[in-house]
Amino acid sequence: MKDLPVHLLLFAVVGLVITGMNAVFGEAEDAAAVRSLPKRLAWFFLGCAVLAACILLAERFLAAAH
Amino acid sequence: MSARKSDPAGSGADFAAVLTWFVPGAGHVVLGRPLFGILAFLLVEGLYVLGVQLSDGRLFEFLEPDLQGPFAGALAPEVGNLGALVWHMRSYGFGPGFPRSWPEHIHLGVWLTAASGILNACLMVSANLAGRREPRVAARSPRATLQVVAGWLVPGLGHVLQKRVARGIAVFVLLVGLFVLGTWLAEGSNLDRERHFYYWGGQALLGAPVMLLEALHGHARVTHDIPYVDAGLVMVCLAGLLNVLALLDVFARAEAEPAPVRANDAGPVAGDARAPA
Repeated sequence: MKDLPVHLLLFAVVGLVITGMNAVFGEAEDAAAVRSLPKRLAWFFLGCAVLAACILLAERFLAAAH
Repeated sequence: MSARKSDPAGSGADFAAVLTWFVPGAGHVVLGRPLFGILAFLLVEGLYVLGVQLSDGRLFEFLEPDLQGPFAGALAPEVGNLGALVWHMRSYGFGPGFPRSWPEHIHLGVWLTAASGILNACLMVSANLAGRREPRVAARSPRATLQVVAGWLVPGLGHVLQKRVARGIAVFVLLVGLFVLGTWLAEGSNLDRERHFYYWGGQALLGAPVMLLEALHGHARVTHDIPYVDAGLVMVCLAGLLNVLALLDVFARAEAEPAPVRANDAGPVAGDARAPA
C-alpha cells in the first residue's frame, strides 16, 4: 500500500486529538482527564483496529475482484 | 448538564431557543427582554443581510449542480439562522445555471452569513438559559453566552474565561494544531469555500484562526495535484467539529457553576458567578 507509514502516522495524530477532546468532554476535572487518556487511546485504537479487520475481511470474502 | 436535571421545567426555555432559531431575538422578546431581543435581531440579521449584499446572495452557486437541492444548506453554518437561510435560498437559489464572475467581496460576504448562523446558535444558548424557571440558572445566561462565543472565536478561550486555563490551552493546541497540520497537507486549498463548500463549513466552527489564515493565504490558485489534500481536508473539518465538543463543555460548566447571590442574599445577580450557590 502506498505511503502506509505516513497514513498511519496521520491517523495516529487524528486519533490523539479525537481522544484528547473526548477526555476534555468526558471528565470534569483536568487531572481525571489526563489520567483517563491512556485508557481512552487504547480503546480508540483497538476499536479502529477491529473495524479495519472487519472491513478487510468483508473485502476479502464479499467484495474481492479477481 | 447536572443543573438541567435540577431544573426540569425547561419547556419555556426550549421554546425560546427554538423560536430564536427561526427569528433571532424572538425568544428573548417572549421571555420579557424586548430591548435585548431587538438588538440581537439587528446584529444577527444585519450580519446576514450585509453578507448577502456583499456576495449578491450567490453563496449556493458555489455548489456543484449535483449538490444543489432543497436541503443543500442543512450542513452549512448558516443553518444556525434558519429563518434567514430559508429566505436566502428562496430568494436567490442556485443562480442562473451558467458560469459568471464572482462579486469582489464574495468571500467576506459568505463569512458574514456563516458568522450570523453561528452567532444565532449562541443566541439560542442565551435564550435557553434565560428561560429557565430556576432564577439562579437563568442568571447565568449572559456570562455563559459570552463564554461560548469566545470559545468559538478562539478555541479554548471559553475555558480560559472560566478560569480553566490548562484545559483551554490544551483545547487550543489540539484543535488549532490539527487545523494548521491539515492546512499544510492541503497546501491551503481548504481555505476557500467555493472549492470545498462543506469542509469549509466544518472548519468555520474553529473561528478566528480560520478567518486569519484565509485572509492571509486563502483562495490561492491550485496548479498541481496535492498528494495529501484529502487527509488535510478531513483534519481541518474534524478540528472544527471537535470544537463543538469544547463549546458543549464550556456551556455545561457555565450552566452548572455556582450562581451569583447579592451580599445580603436577596437573589441572583445577572453576570456574576463568583459567589457560591
